[in-house]
Amino acid sequence: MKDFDQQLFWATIPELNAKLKAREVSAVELARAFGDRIERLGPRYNALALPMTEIAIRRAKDVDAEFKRERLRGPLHGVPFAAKDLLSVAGQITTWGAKPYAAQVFDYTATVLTKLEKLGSLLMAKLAMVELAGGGGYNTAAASLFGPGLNPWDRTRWSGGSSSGSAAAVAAGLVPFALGSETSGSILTPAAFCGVTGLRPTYGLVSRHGAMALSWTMDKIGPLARTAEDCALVLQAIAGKDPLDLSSSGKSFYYIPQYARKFSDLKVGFAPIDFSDRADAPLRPALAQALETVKSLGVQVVEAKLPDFPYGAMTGAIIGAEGASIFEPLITSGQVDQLADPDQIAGLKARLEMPAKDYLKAMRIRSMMQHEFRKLFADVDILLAPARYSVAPLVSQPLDYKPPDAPKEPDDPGMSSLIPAGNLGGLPALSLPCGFAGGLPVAIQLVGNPFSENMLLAIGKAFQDRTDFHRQHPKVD
Amino acid sequence: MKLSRRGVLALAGAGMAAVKAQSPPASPADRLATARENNCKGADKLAQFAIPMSTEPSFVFRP
Repeated sequence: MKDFDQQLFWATIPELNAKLKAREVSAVELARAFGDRIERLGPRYNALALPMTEIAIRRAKDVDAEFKRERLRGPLHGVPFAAKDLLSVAGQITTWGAKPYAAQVFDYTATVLTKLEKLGSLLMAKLAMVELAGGGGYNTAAASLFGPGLNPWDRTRWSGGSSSGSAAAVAAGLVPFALGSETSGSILTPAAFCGVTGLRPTYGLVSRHGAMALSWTMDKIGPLARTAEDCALVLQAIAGKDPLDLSSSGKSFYYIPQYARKFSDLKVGFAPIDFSDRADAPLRPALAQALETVKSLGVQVVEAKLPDFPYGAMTGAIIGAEGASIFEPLITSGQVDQLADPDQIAGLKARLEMPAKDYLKAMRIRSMMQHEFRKLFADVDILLAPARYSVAPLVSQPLDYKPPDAPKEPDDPGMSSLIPAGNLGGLPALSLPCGFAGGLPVAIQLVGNPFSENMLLAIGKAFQDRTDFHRQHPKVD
Repeated sequence: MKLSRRGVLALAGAGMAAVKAQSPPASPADRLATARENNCKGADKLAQFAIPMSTEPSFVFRP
């Protein structure tokens, strides 16, 4: 390990692939180095759920044999990664981040993991998460079997949720990329707080077979990685039809940035108040600079407004009703009381009592919302907003804590509901690091029409060609 | 020491936060009551929204 180039821990997928193809490093060396690192440093951030180093090294030996025979399987061949512990691996413990499931073992592997294995990627570990992906509503960073997710930029801060370990592991250079999941913000939030790039795919583009269900109509699986291009390469590998997932759209994804629409033809909509009064003051310089960088790409930047809907109440009713139905056995058996977060326990119990009419009302309003979004996307191609309006909160405070001297929220909501709105609409989104405030990462999000990932990723790549925030990393060792 | 109105409010707010921090944690029954109340608040917000009778629930998310 002594001679291992430490810079490889921060390399992108194409950089690692080039090193492997040139035989400058072997897959076994990568597996050993990343395995050692994730086992040594993962617990520091409460990011590690289950190390799988030995299995990865065994697979890496086969990968090296394939490289020797020049049987190349694409850009992810031999590249280590890790997965949120809501994805099952046959014969291995899958906890869903929750004590009642601490000994749960499935006899099948999630489709996304099978796809990555077929392409020669090396699963190094399962990563910590907020218990049950936060389905009952939680208010503490400690809402996890693994303890509070700690941010590699500042361990007194939260890494975000619910894909806490996935974001922290990428940010700390423990893996080049990780899989996370999002029902309403669980990829974008930790990606933003930890300063990594996160992609929430269109609903139905990526199979959820083998993943914990929280909301059948809102769950998505996606990557957290160093760059937009890395996210694209992972999405290309995991997207596609899956007869085992009823939500599967049957569509594939091919990363073709060369065929992206001309930027000068693209209209990017934003709400000025997001970048002034809505975002916390320390974030505004980085957000303003990001807006200027987006403008410099040659796109048309225009003012836009989200349609007026009760997004919070809709997501609450839909995730609440579907989640309570999914976890009914847990709730009625009383095992729910073993969860770490008391608000989550109460939330799940209360949601089991939710009347069907409330759920259906939310789903009917959702139809109207989707219609309005189709009209919105006739006027703009992409929506741009801060990924989060504040930096990562302290783990010692409730997540909804507001300092007594916090300024009153402006009446204009701007696009502050873009995360729930985008998830209700099944829309793809990309979180891009865009600077720092007080040493903590700041990020923007881009949201597009369903299946517009190539357009978002092309903008994301161009943004990252002009900035270096995605290349910066915390001091870890 | 003379305090501005804003200063007094800030101190009062800080005091309330300190009181909240020292107060005993909410009981499970209290938390359940709060969660039920939140459900009702959400339902009220949804109820304010006029939905045409012809609007069906959304289960398809393809363009």
